[in-house]
Amino acid sequence: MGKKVEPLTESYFYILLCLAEGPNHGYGIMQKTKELSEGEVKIGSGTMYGATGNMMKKGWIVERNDYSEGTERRRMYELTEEGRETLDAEINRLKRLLAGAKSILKGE
Amino acid sequence: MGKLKTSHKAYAAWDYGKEIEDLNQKSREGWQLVKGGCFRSVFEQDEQVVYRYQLDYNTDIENRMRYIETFREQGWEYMNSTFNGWHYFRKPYDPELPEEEYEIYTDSSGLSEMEQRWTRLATILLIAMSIMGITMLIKGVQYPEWPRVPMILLYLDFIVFIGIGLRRLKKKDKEYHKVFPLSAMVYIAVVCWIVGVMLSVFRPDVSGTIKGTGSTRSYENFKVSYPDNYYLDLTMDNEIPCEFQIVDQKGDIVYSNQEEKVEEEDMQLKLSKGTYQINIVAEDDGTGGNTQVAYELN
Repeated sequence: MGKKVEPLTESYFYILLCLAEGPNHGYGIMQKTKELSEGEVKIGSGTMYGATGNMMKKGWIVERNDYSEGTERRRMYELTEEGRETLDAEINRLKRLLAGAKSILKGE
Repeated sequence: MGKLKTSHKAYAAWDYGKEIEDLNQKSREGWQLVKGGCFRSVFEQDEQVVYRYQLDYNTDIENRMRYIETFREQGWEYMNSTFNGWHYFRKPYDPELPEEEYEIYTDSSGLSEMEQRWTRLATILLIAMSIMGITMLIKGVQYPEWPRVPMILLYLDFIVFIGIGLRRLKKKDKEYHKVFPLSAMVYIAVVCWIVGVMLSVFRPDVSGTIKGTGSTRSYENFKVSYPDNYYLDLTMDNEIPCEFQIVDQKGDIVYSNQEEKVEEEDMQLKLSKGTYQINIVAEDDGTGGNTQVAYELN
C-alpha cells in the first residue's frame, strides 16, 4: 500500500501557499490568506500557533528571524523543500478532483 | 486603578464557552478581568473599555514566546495562564470589526484543536479512573468494609462527571446545562472524601508482637466505633500451649486460636460497636518453651 497523503485543511493549505512566494510572519500569512480567499478563510491565533508548530515538527516550514534594518525583529516562517513538495502534492490532488468533476459535469 | 473584585465562580472544561460569554458580559458591565483562574478570578472596574476574551487550552507549549507573539500579532493581549494549562487572552472590542476577528480557532470541521487536546487528556483520565475504580470495587467485594464505599462513590462521581463532559463536547452540545455542574461534582467529592477519611480514622488499629519464655500473659483493649468487617493478621510460633483470644465487653469469645503454628492474613471478623480485649495466654507445661505471637487488626 502506498503512502496515503491526508488532504490538508484549508488553513494548512493557505499557510503553505502564502509561504511559497517567500518567508512571511504570522500576521502576513493571515492577511494574505484573507485576501486570497476573498475573505472566506480567516486563520485565528490558536489555529495559527498549532498549525505552524505542527508544520515545523513535520519539517515543512522553518522559523527564522528577520533582522532587516529599521524594522522590529519579527518571527518569520520559511517553506522548506519538503513543504514545497507537500504543497505541490496537494495542488495535484485538488487538480485531479477538479478534472474529475469537470469531465462528469461537462454536459450540464 | 479602579475598584477590584474577586469571583470564585468555577467552570467545567467543556463549559469554557460559557466562561468566555460571562467574561464578555462582565466587560460590557464595566468589570474587566485582570487575572483569570480556575477557582479565583480578579476583576477591575473600568467603564472606559470593553474587551472580548478568549480562553485557550494548551499544556504543550514548546515555545512560550512564539505562542504569545502569535496571539499578539492579531491583537490579542496575553493575560495569564492557570496551573492546568488554560491561557487567558483579551482584545479591545471594536463594533466595526466582524465577529470572526474574535475567534482563535477557525478550522471549523469537527472539534477544534483545543477541544481535541482536552478530549485526549480527559479520555486518558477517564480510563485511568475507571481502572482504579474497578480495582477498588473488586477489592471491596473481596474485603467488604464501609470506608471503601465512599471512596468507590468518589471515583464514580469523577467518572460520571468527565463522561458527561466528553459526551457533551463530542456531540458539540455547546448549550450550557445544569445537569451535573462542577459544583455538584466537587460537593459530592468532598462529602465522599470526608466520610471516607472519618470512617478510616475511627477504625481500631491495634498491633503487637509478644515474645516470651515459659508462662506469659498479655492483653490489649481496643474500641470498635461502628459495626463492620475488620481484618486480622495473625502469626504464632509456640513451643508451649498458647491461646490468642478476642473477647467482647460481655466476656464472650469472638475469636480464639490455640494452634502451635499459625500464619493467617486478612481474616475477616464481623465486630459490632463496643470495647474488645485481645488476650494472649501461654501456660508453661514444664518444658519452658518459647512463645511468639504477632497480630495486627484494622
